[in-house]
Amino acid sequence: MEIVLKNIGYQYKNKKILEKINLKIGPGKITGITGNNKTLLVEMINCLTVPNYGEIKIGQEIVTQQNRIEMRKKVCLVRQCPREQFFTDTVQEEMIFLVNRLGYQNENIAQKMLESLKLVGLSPKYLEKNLFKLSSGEQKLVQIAISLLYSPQIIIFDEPFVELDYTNKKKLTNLIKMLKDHYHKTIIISSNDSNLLYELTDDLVILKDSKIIAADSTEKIYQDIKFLLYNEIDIPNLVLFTHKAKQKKAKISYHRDLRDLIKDVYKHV
Amino acid sequence: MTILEIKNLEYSYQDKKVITNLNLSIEEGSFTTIIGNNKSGKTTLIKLICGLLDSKNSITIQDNRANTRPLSNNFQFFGVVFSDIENKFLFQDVYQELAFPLENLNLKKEEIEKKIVDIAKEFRNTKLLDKKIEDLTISEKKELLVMISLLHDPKVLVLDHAFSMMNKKTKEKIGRILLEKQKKEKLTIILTTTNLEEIIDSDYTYVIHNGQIIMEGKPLMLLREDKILNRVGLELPFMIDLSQKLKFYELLTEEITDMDRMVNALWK
Repeated sequence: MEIVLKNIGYQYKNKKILEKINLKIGPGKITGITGNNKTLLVEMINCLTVPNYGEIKIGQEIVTQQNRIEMRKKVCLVRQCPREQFFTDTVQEEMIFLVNRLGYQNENIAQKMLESLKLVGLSPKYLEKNLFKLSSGEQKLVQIAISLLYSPQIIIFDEPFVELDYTNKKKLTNLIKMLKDHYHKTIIISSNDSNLLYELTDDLVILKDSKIIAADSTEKIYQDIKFLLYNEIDIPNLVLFTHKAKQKKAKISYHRDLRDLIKDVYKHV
Repeated sequence: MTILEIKNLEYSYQDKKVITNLNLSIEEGSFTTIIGNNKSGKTTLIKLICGLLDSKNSITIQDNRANTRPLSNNFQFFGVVFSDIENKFLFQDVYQELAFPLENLNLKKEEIEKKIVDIAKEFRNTKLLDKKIEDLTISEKKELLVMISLLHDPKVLVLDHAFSMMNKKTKEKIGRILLEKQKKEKLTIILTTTNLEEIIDSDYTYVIHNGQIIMEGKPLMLLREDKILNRVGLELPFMIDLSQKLKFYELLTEEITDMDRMVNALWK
């Protein structure tokens, strides 16, 4: 599902927080958003915050005051701290709460619950578990499982990797890749972790001082070192290393995987 | 001198054991890091160390400053920064936020002002003092929390995931300032993290897993145990990972943590 933002602006007490945002987010792609006020931008795409001016189009429909609630079912926002979003105690209660709220009349709901847990790699045992006793990594996985119940076309992750350890990070990156490849979801990742954005995303949007300063393919943006340095944007380790090697006249090229880089280094040392 | 000693520490939440038979000691003026995955018990350990949870006398603190009342003892001895930044601020202005803990210590107005300006200068961020909390970025909020924790001149600074979500520039700056304070003022620093890049500059590292210390040693020695680290859910820092792989192909003879030095070693 495609998302189009047309000339969006947001102001808070005379302070321009976002202005003149024009953006097209391609369907079935992973788009990264980095820089200031990215959370506000993703909240707008989630129809939680209404911009002062401009229009947001999700799929074929323009978001209006009337259809906002309906439009929100197309988008799922996985927040940085999922516990802020939980209403009930156990995973099962939370899932039933959501199903009731959305007014689904589905007899297979028990089956669906198990399926969506399986999809994120959690066992059926988790249905009975207390949400607030899970680790933050598990809470994130549970929240994704819950939102998969109403099969949103667009999934937004706000700072997904903060405070996650290696195992959970691996799990989540694989899950994101799977949601894109096998379920053709449109995925937005808002993060400041340049290394993960470089590894994971197809397109990248960079916000600075309330404006978009770059929106292009991830490779193109992250390999323009001059631009990154000038705008004080974190450079991914893999890019920085290759850049420094190139300055030493080494004939290696940019890679998004460490193993490929090492093969290249081996050939050209 | 040992400033903090933990012997046979046990802790459970209701019937769930979180810390089992944990021993560690921390030298005065050292920089100690504690690493472990999300469920390892790091935060519980930190709360036990600074007295927010009852450690049942398993922790001995060596405080040679006289005249500290027992109640305020822990508060003045430790400076603590936790990972979350929400619900941490009470006021609208940065200045008020910094002044509040000092007012609680019954200091004179001039003294408070001097202390605040001093700490802002130390962090090369006097502009921050005129700002409002709501206008701060996440990195600035975190920086402010570190500043607040240092205001009362603690002997031990405890950082629980304090560097997560900070941008690279702020992280490097605060890292430098803290290391300088450690060398000059003998500040003892304890840092917990899942990001192993942050342990490289530390003096000693403990690996905690399921509430137990499973490994300890100098950080560069520990980082050679990549299999164990991966198994307990920890990821090698980029430069160490790259070094070890290049070493495997005999392109390097030793681990190099600085990127410029590595490039120079490879392409002379």
